[in-house]
Amino acid sequence: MEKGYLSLVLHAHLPFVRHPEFEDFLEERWLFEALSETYMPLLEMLEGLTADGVDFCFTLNLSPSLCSMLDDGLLKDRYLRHLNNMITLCEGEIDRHRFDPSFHRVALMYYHRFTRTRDKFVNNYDRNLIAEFKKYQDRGVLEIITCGATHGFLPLLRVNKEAARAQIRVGANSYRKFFGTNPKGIWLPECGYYEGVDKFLKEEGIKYFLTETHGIVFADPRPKFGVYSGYYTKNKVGVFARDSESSKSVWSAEEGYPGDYNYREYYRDVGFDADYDYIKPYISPCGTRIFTGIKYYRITGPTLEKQPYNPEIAAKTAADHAGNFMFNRQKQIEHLSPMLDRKPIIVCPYDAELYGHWWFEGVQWLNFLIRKICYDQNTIKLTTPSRYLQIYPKNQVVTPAASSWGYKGYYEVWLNGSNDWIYPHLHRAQDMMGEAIKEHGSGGDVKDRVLNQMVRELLLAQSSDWAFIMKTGTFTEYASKRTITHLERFHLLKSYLDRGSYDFEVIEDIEEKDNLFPEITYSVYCP
Amino acid sequence: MRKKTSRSPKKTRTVNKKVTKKSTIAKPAKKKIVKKVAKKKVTKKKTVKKTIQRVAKKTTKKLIKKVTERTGLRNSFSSRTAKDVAATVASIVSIPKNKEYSEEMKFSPEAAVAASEVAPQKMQYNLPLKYADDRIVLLVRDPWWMFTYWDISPNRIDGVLATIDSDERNNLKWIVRAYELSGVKKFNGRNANLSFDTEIYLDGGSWYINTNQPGGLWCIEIGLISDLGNFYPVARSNIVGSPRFGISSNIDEHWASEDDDHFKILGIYDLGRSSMERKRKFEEIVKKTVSSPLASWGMSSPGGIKKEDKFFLEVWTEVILHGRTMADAKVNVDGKEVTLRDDGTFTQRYALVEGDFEYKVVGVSKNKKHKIKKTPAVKRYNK
Repeated sequence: MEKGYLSLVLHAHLPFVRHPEFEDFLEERWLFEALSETYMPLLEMLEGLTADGVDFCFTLNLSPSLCSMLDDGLLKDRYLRHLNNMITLCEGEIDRHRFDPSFHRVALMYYHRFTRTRDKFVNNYDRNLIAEFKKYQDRGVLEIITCGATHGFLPLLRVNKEAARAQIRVGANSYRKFFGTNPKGIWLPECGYYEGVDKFLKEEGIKYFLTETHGIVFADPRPKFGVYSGYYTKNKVGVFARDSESSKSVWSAEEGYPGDYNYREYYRDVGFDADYDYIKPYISPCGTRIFTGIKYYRITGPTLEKQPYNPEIAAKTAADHAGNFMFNRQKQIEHLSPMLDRKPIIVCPYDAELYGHWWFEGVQWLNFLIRKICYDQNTIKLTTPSRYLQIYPKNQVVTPAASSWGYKGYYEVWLNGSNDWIYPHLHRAQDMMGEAIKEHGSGGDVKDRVLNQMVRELLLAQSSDWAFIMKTGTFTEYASKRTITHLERFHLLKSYLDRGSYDFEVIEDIEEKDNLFPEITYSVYCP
Repeated sequence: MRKKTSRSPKKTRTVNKKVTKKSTIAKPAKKKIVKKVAKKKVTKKKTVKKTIQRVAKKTTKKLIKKVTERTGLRNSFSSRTAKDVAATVASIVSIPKNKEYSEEMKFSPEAAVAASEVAPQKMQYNLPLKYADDRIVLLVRDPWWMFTYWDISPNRIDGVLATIDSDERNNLKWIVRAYELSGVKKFNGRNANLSFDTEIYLDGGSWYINTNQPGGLWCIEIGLISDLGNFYPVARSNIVGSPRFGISSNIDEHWASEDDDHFKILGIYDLGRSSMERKRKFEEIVKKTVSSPLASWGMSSPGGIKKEDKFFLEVWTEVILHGRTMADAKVNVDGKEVTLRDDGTFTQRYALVEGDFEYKVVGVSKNKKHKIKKTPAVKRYNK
């Protein structure tokens, strides 16, 4: 009989990046890379675990903006084109390394990965990954949860409460559309919590959310079980906090497993290493070298002289690390169990894209971990937050402390000298949205259509990814441009309403470009 | 009540804070103690930052006096004259054009005044530059800091100026006054638990304010303060709560546990004798933990190639095997068929590592009656 529980939570999210106006758009590769390296391998892992009859469950957040992209025909076409391109590159790489065995077998590995991915994407999944993930939710092994519509950072949008509420509402509605049921849980964007946001979750029937460790450790009144239990907020929404000890072993780039010398080195890529004329068809359309995903070296150590990657040794290392992680959680549960008058839960939330994309062997590690937990021990059992709430429906009521999982634990990542200029514009637009609905709502089909698109533009401008990218210093121009573009489109649409004259070509063009949440109605913005 | 400033921003910062027990809006003048609570310098490598620091060291008064001497401008403070002053200041002190000015501005009114007229726009865009809606908004950044932005119309400023006696209009300064309102039922401008002032530059449009008080409830007003100490508010913000920081001492009787047990669950052992000491030490640990950078692994984060800080040189070699035959023939290299172009030429490139290599090239005519073998070989080594 288990003494406690482990809840793995993966947060899969990408900002909505879709540019039909360009034939080939660099930032769309974020989706293609995440598909090939994370989402498709996760599905393959689920397939294997199910086929082998492994008893498991975990939680996966598929953000609404990511779901919108996974469901988009144009992006699916482009992904297939990208896969074909990658397969051509892999063929070239197999040829190129024919007389170099250590690289040749790595080239073959990539070739097999990409051809298998294409085969599954087209033939097995019929290009519909959402349906595929849903299948595992329906089987009861995967708990898919939702997120804010466009991952807007709610603590900084809350100046206008309808804005925060709309993010939750649209997130929940989008989930219902894709998964045909109410979301049990929500991943608050960036785990950004503030007192009062739980009211909006309750309105949508959401049963729980997740916070950073100090959201619960500093909760009021003092939470009896630390982060090792669920709690309720005043609005009776469940809340679980991240366990920092277990997170760190995976999360930290320096101290964590992903930094092991046997694992694949992310920063050495043929996009940068190969001869320019040879690699040109596979890099940025403007000729800038970029990561292609084809990487031949292992981390090796703190040296520039990198050794060739060995997939077998890396897989063995992932298995060892999974065993180590499990052992540490067993010890943790054995330590905690006598101190609590209930079975403790250890909640481990991670960015999904860490697995496979950044940490190439991450999905393998997860696969090993799940299998080991099932077969190699009896101390811990995998669970999900909603299952834990079913086991322990009576919980202490606390008010979590405002927090986020960003650097320094609060809101500074999204509010600093690099990005604070966006808030006056966002907050004004949020106010204008409410005013425009009051003035023009129910004013006929055309006005409704314009108001609906204004909501989409506002949601897109609110995406926390733009402020985050401005802070990190890469792709900053693109991030600023996206914030501005959506606000400009918002103001343009509003000007049509104010003037009472409409340029339908422009409206159609905007609708075509920013086509997410087709089901949206401006009522999501009403109190 | 004097407040400490334990955390200061990374940038150069010279702020005057005036802290009073109760707020003193529009009260008759009383001599108040002005304490410089934060005056920190950070050495910057870049010239622009040094220049801005030099500017920041001088007080606004000094700068404006200098300007006044040159131009004969009086320092009556309306937003328009402030701009004029700024423009002239900028012509006196040399501020290199650099986009990093904006961060400096936020922490130094003087630098902001000096830099505002010469700094380039970060980006060209068509969003409204001003909304002029007489609004000031307060946002929380963390338990110790808040951010505020404002947009005040000239009409509103003129309206407030009109209420100020003419002899008091000289040397007016723009400030934001922060009020702590925990437990205050209805804030009327005079019933705050405490308040303090921060001098700001109106046209800067935004400011970071150090409250250094987690768990407080805050509201701010932007306005003009006279030499006599009278405060003339122009706009009032929303009310926000700063995050609590620390383990709650509020115990739920139904979910009570001994301090020792609670600390054990949190993983606190041997941190001190008293529970207070352990609590404090634990909070220090949490503060460090939440402040340490955990990598963010989203797709759009660390992109780009890792910058190497050491000089390096990498050399790779490849062999290019190219040739021609009849367009309808078949060619293979070491048993693997290669693709011929329409004119029968072909090109293969192979990575060349150290060692001896042979490339067995076989051409076969379409009717398979003719077969030619050629085997070029290379030796690759490092001298």
